[in-house]
Amino acid sequence: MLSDHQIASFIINGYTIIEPEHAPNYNEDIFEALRVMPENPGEHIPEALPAITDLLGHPTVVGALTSLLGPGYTRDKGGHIHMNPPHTRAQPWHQDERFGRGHQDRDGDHIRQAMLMYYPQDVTEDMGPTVILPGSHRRVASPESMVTLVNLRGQIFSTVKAGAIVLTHPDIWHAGTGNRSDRVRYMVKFHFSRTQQSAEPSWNHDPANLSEIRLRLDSEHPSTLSRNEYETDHAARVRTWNNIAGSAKMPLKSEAHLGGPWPVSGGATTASRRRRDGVTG
Amino acid sequence: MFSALLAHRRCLKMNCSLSGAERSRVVNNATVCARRRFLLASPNMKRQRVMYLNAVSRSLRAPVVGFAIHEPVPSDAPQIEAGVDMPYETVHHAILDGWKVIHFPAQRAEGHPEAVGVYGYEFILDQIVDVDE
Repeated sequence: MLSDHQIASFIINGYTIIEPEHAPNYNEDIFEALRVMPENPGEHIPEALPAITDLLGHPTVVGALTSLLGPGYTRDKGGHIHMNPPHTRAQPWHQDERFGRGHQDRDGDHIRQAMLMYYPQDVTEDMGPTVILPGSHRRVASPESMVTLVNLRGQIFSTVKAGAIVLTHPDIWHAGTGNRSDRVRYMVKFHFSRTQQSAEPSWNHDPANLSEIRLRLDSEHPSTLSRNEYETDHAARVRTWNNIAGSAKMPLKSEAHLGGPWPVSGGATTASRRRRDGVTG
Repeated sequence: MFSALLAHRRCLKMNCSLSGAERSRVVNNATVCARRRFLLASPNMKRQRVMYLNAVSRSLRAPVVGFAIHEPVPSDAPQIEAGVDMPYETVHHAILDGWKVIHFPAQRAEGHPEAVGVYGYEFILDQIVDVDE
């Protein structure tokens, strides 16, 4: 099970990385099976790659998905094996199926679905790792609005060890990047869905952590936001917690609102104006 | 430098009515039509370098959170890469470095009060540079 802090990090950043203990040679065997696979099986991954069911049933994976989606979650139809061969170029930024195929009902203040990305080999920076933008999962962005975006402040790359799994909110902005190496980089992706609303936290929750969690939801920002966005993003985070925590809800308005140290210089008015305008320096 | 060979090739692309032999004479003797005179008179080509900067507000002093630079040479589009830093902290810093804003982001209508908006406010800037070929 994930901890309170891992859940808070997922709400803030839109992803978490888990590293299940696999059986010896498990990742190597999966990699080899992918390497000799004659064609992409599309959504029929378990049929073409039976060993992947061990990963889907791994206690660490089940625990993490139960934490995020509640008990009784289901694996969605679909899934995809990504092969990034040598000498490719980066994909554009995108959200998976955000504007099509009946996925318009996803909420920015809930965790109703999750995306799993499994890497069967070590992924280095030159192998075209997946790039994600932390905190982007609450932004609904059409492909059209993303077309001029390239390098973004705070973007991170999935340079992970073999066997690592990146679990993300379904709306996280991501892309495969260019593979500059001479090695093929594989990734197996699945989507999962919540089937019921939680009556209580489905993770390893301790009520004593609530004040710390609240502080993190109020103050941690993986990317620079405009003044409007601080307000809306903050509210959406707390609503997300409340939507998945059942009985462990927290008040929308923080008791510590506007508290904290006095400004060192410039005065509160100046500081507020600069925050409002998103001004730096 | 803008070589005679390149000028000759460019003339071919411009559907010039002169024959191949005449084109060679044009390049060598510089007796040219108006379009070629422009090309041959400019040993360095002036071209537009374009940069997108995404800032967190419409303020010129707002932090930059995204960028893409399109160089005025035949090339692939810029792509996402690891280890890349923002070239400027703000649009104002870019102006100080000689860039000119050619498109300001529009004032946005108020969106849904409970939804985070699209990413950044897009400024488009350019520099006119000499291109040696």
